[in-house]
Amino acid sequence: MYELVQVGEKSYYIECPAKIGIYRQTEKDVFLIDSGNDKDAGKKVRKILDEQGWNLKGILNTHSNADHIGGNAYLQRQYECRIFAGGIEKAFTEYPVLEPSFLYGGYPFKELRHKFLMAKPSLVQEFGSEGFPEEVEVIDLPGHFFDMTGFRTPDGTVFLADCLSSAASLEKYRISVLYDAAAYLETLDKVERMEANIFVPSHAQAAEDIVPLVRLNREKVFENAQEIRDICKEPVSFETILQSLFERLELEMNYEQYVLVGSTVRSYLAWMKDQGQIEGFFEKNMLLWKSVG
Amino acid sequence: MFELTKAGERTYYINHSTIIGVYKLTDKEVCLIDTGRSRKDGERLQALFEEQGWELKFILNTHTHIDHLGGNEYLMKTWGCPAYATNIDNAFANYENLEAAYMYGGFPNNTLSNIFRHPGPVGFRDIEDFQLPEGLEYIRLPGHSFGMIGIKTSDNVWFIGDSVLNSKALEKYQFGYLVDVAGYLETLELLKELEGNLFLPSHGDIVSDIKPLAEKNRNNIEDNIAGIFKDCGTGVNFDDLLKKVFDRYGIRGDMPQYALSGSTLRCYLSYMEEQGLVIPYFEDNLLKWKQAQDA
Repeated sequence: MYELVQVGEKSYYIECPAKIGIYRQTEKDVFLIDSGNDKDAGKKVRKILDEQGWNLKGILNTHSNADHIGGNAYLQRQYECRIFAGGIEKAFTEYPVLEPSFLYGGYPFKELRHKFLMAKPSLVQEFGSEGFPEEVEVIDLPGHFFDMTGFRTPDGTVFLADCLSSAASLEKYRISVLYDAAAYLETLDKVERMEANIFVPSHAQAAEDIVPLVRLNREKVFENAQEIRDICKEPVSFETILQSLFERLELEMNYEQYVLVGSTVRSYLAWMKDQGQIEGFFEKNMLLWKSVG
Repeated sequence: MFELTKAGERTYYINHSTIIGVYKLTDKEVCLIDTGRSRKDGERLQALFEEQGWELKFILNTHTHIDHLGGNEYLMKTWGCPAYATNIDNAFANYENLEAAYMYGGFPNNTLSNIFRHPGPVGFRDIEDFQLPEGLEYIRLPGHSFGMIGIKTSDNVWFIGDSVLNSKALEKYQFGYLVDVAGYLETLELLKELEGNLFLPSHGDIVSDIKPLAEKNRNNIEDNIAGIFKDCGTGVNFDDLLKKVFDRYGIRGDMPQYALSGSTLRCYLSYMEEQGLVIPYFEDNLLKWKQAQDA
């Protein structure tokens, strides 16, 4: 854990649960791509930068999930560096209570106000504002989260954020967290067509050929949609759908999963409702979901 | 045509379904406090300005719910003027679907995203970066939205947004939308301390003494809590709890209410857990809420 791996002339990543990318702009100045889980991740990054004699100029956040912005606050204090994020991700990074609030659908209860879901706030600027490394290309990758982006560094390394889960984690967790299923599928198409010297997904191995993993992730979306349709053969309420899904997929329920998978299932239901594959209706004042056809 | 009511030397309001405040910065220049619920309201305000020979300098939004933002975009474009709200509320104004996504707790389906669509990034600015002109000040009144504010004019007139339900709503629809029960209750206490000649809640009940209404609202929240507490009993899941809320308050369950009341209920449950009243737990992969033993 926390080894520095070079993947291009100017590109590196730090091996950890949510990979931290490094773009070396000059001999000494570097930018991070995401900042890890928490303050401890930030400290480990600092140690690595010190060993290399590098100075942190800024952080580019792919999206605002706590495991990607967790080191922001610490590193911003240490280096007085700029942090860049796009669109809604900027708001969530500045107001981290928005992440568990959104996932839960209301002000989060105690068990959800945990560092896994809620990072410390940091000050953020839009991509392209002063101090942003213009030679880094911002790639829109919506789907997993609202305005998620990836980055292409000048040596042809593409950092893919959370577009792709690893085969092992798809095997274990079955369902990947997503916000907008339609956008997610379009993003997968886009990534499948993308050219790069090497791709670095945050939660899967770096690879020169990413296509097999894209296909696996796409198949999973349709499998999960089918599971939900199967559960909804008879009209069922949301909490029951979630319960059945956990049983079918043999997942272990906890508060974090309740909101991460729960929110994902609500998003699947919206997607399938808008496509006419599932309907939501009220019976005796309770919302029930039922597969169509 | 909108009719102006004078509330002080420089303060006026329009008693619309969402009250709109007008404050005269000079003889000719005015600012607005909220802008009604639709573009049409923006056009009506424009007609009023033309009739009065007034120039709009800026808009202050008490919060960024759509029934307060209605005329913003039209008037901002017409006058090339800025509109302000708190920075966290601007997150909800700037992103068309964030409010709907937040309330639903996931990607909003078409019904929800159409009903709760926000203006998007039309140039809202953070009130934190704005030096309000002499005669105007604001205080934070969180609870109903994450960053709601109340605005006081030099006539000691307070525009207090949706910090209280009016008496009619308290009788008819007690389960008012909120995002943070603790914040909402603190705001009610804060209202009782405010000095002013006139208080204007956005949806009516204009009063010179806000204390009784604030107190009634506190009692209402406590009644809601007592109701949910009873509902939780020895363990109930969220869908059943929401049905009980719908039934008790005579709310007809539909998609918008599922999001509005559903989100509000989730906020109550978070607060009640914090207060040691209820406990969440899992039973066969189902989240349930039960009364705490010692509550």
